[in-house]
Amino acid sequence: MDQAITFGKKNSLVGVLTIPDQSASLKEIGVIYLNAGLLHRVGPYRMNVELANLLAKKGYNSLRFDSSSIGDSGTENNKTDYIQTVIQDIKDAIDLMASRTGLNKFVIFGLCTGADNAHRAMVHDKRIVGGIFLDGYSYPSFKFMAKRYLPILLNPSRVARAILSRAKNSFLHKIFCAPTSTAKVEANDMFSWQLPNKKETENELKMLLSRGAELFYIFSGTALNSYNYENQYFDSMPFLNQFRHQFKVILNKNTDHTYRLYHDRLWLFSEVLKWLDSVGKK
Amino acid sequence: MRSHRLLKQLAVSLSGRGIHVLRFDYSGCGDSAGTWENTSIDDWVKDISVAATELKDLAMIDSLSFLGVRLGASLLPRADLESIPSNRFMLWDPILDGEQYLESLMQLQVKLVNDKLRFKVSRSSYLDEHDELELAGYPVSGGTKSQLSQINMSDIKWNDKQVLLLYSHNKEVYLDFAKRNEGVELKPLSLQCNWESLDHLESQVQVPELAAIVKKFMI
Repeated sequence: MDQAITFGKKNSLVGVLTIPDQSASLKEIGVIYLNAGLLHRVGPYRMNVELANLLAKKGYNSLRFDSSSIGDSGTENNKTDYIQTVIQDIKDAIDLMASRTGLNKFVIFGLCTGADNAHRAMVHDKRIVGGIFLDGYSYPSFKFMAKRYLPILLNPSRVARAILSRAKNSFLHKIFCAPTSTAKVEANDMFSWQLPNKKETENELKMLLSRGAELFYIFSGTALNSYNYENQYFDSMPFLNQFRHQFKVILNKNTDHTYRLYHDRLWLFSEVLKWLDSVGKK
Repeated sequence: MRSHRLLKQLAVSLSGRGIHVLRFDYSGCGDSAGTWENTSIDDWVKDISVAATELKDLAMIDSLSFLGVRLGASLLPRADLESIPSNRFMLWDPILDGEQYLESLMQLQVKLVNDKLRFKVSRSSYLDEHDELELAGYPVSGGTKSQLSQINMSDIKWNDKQVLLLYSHNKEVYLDFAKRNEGVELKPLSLQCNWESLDHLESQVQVPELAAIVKKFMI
């Protein structure tokens, strides 16, 4: 059963709480879905709604909501720093779920920037015991670089095309583009996505895993340019090998970033459900 | 999905002028209960009546205006609104011919599975692997497919309604429709909405002038 809800200090965050079916045995973990990019709370192709309904049949409470200024939400926690705003929004969402359901353990689900925000929220809130990250942070390993670039380097025509393309873009840019103003550079920096420093992420993952959090990374075929084999994380951050029982990674090369195809979403849901059912039992 | 943000901004703008606004998701869509496979076009037509009654009762107002987007614009004239005084319809890029629309969606699904920018591994066999009809990533029942193909706006009786048709493409088709439907006023939009374009499938529609057009029509 769904309940539309507004929450937050200004009551301007909008969400939908999905309560489990009465026939299902209640689970002790609640699930919170974050916005994928600028998409509103239903998620790409209604993913969050369908997953919430499936999980409700299995006994999971969940909340999907719009962060400040996204979807139907107002400017609840708008601070000058986007990250601080999102972290506070998620804290408000957890406070709401805790008060409505009595739960005190949560798993957070995010795709793309939603995955980034899920990571940030976990670092700041111990009530989040697990995270599901779709195309989240990833870092190259030596094997990744070899798989990515060797086929190009071994193919002379591809090397020539790559060199010509870069030279052409540089020449055209010099001829036709005005010098970039400082304001534009600042604006570009503000709106461009940047992978956090690897050491910083590594320290945060160590902290999360040391406190017992469980992390589930699912990479799609669209992410192959940054994650191209399943054990890449364990090679790029070897300390993770001692946490394999808490840190799971799947790479499904067949899927795309937003799970456009219905049966790809069904696959995703079954993996999420399997993992959720194992949280806290390892 | 593509118009959610724009319609929200429109609602905020209109409510700032003292106008009550209800946006809703059809059964099986958005936040509403149900699934695509278990709902039909007929259900969506009934949903329009339910939404209209809800707004009229909640806001205690005497008459309603409607904005329908795309398929919603085509379903609007079929809704039972007899008990609700409603004399203004705004139709944004309505589907005039359901069969053609269904065909375009089926072609889009084929393009979608063959999209090499999106799928690094070929998915060209996807359509043969699964029996369900899927349109732009959503599973659709046989009943819905049949009802979709039967949509035809040539037989609508507008009676005394004021109808404003906003179009972003297919100018000649909509011009012809307006000629054959007395009382339908046409208004071109400044930007193409690219509704069935693979490249725009997940991008938000932007129509900067929408709020101004709607306010002018309603007030």
